[in-house]
Amino acid sequence: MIRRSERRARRNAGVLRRDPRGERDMVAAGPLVLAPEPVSAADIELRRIVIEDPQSWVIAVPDLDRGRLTTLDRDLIGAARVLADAQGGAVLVAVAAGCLDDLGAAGADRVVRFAALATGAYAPATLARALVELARSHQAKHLLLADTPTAGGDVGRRIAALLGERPAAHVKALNPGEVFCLADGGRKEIVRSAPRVILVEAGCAEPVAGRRHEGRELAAPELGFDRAITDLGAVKVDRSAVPLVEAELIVSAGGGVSDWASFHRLAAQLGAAEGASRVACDLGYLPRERQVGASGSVVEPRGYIALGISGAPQHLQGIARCERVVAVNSDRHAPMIQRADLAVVTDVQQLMPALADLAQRERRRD
Amino acid sequence: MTEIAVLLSVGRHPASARARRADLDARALEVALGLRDTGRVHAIHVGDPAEPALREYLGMGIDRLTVLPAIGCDAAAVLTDHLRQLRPAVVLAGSRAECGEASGMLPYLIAHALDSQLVAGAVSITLRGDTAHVIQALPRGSRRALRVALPVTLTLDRAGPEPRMSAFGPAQRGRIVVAQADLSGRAPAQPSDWREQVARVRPRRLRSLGPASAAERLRSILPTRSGPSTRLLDLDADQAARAIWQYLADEGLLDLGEPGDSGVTSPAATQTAGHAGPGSAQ
Repeated sequence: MIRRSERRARRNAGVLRRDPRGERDMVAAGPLVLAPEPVSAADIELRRIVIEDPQSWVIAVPDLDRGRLTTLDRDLIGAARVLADAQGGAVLVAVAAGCLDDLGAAGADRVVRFAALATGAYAPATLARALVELARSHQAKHLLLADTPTAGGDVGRRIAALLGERPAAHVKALNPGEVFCLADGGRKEIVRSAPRVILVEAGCAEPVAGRRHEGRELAAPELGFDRAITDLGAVKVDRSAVPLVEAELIVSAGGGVSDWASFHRLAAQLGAAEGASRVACDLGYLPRERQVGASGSVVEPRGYIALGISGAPQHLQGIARCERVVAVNSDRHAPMIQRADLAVVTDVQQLMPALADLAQRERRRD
Repeated sequence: MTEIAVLLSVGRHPASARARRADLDARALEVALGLRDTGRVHAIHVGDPAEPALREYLGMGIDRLTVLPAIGCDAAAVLTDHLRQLRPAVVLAGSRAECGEASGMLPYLIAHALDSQLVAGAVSITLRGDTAHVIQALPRGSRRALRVALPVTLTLDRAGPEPRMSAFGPAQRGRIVVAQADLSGRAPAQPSDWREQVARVRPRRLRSLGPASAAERLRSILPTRSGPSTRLLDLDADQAARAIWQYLADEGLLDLGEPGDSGVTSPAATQTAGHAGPGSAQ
């Protein structure tokens, strides 16, 4: 019998597994209480998996978005696990330095960080050569990349050209035996045995969950940059004219907006793309391609500012995957106000010039 | 004179399945037509010279289209032989075909064989001596400028310039020239151990489940929301503007874009100026 104090000490030292039943919220007859603090992956004791001496290697190369794994990246590592686990192999994740996520929890047995590739640096040919070298030194069975046009898909096709092999592109699903590649404009699937280079699309496999792989860091090879391509940096683009599906920040107007000059000025000042509800498009204030909603564009920007939009279900469908929604409306019972992360009940017509002026002042001060 | 090669394929309409000009290749031709002052544009197709859809490219304003008559065999090898003789400074192609395997490998194989640089997702190109200034499209509407040593191969995707309409007259007048292609010993387009089947619609995961915590899973099926939503009532315009600005700054949403010039109306504004609102229509 272990004494309670000793049990607590051992638990704190990580020796003893916590009894999950001991952590219940003891709310007798009250409503369901959710834990107020988000449970981070580090808090949960995940099953640790260490593969010491793998029989084969599968290399996965995530794209990263601002140093974070994207959904596709997690699927990609999940797919690499499917292939590696079937042959007693290990997953080696090769990534640009500056990845902020826990790659072990994402499913990586080993990690190689290319220090020379700061996130976003443009050197696909260099990276392709380095990955070919990495695959050769580990005798990797498969190399998996995300099939994104200017990131993983670009590098992956360069690797395939260097190796002289035909990659499996647009892979929608895979199992250890075969891969399913979307072909013929999406009408057909080509089923073939898994080749060396595999370019996967979102949803190809389930992301790794409930276990933690070792994620041991390996020394990264040096990269030799070539001078044939010079990155001149980002180009200033007119954010308000960016297509809605590409935009990161959208300012959207609905039937509640009547001061359109202020609306356009506000969008320009915030550096946001202009969107509109169906009402505003029907009235001809903005072109139809700017319509957000089920019958317009389904958008997923990082930020969405809804001005004078009450929030019809079709419109809310169109913004279902927005991360941050700000709503401004004079009606405090509008569905959009319920949906928003920040809801402001005020007069839109007065707010728009005030916010545009504020944005202009703040930008000038910077 | 600089040689500019555009690789054109026959596309297929997604709804009617009729043969048409491939959308991405038409964008590549559109970029090439912008280079006519600095170079000679060669439009090249590998396949059946009798295909009527090829005339849609001629209707965009080129007077001839070279066809390498190779059907059912590896197009990349045939094209490489042809381009080795032509020695183009710029090769343009759509990033993906609309029918067949459509792996998007062809530009990469050609760039590798010709030892040329490759830029994926290009939007525009300007030639300056022996270098090219290329604008590349990145996700979410961003653009990147690159200076590339010639020769260069560019692939175009949906961010490329909208192709011009095809005119009937030039399409009929244009010439389709059949070039010689050596087909001996060419590999078949598709290995025999590949199987084709009708694409299956696979179930879409609604939202990925994170770590194996019940609280996390429960949160993940609730509507997307970072934290408890804030509701601000009875504010005047300046206070509300301040609150929204603060929120956007805290969430890191303001460093995404360059602000527009306040003196100039945005193109979207000028675009909509022509749109008569109900007030001005009456």
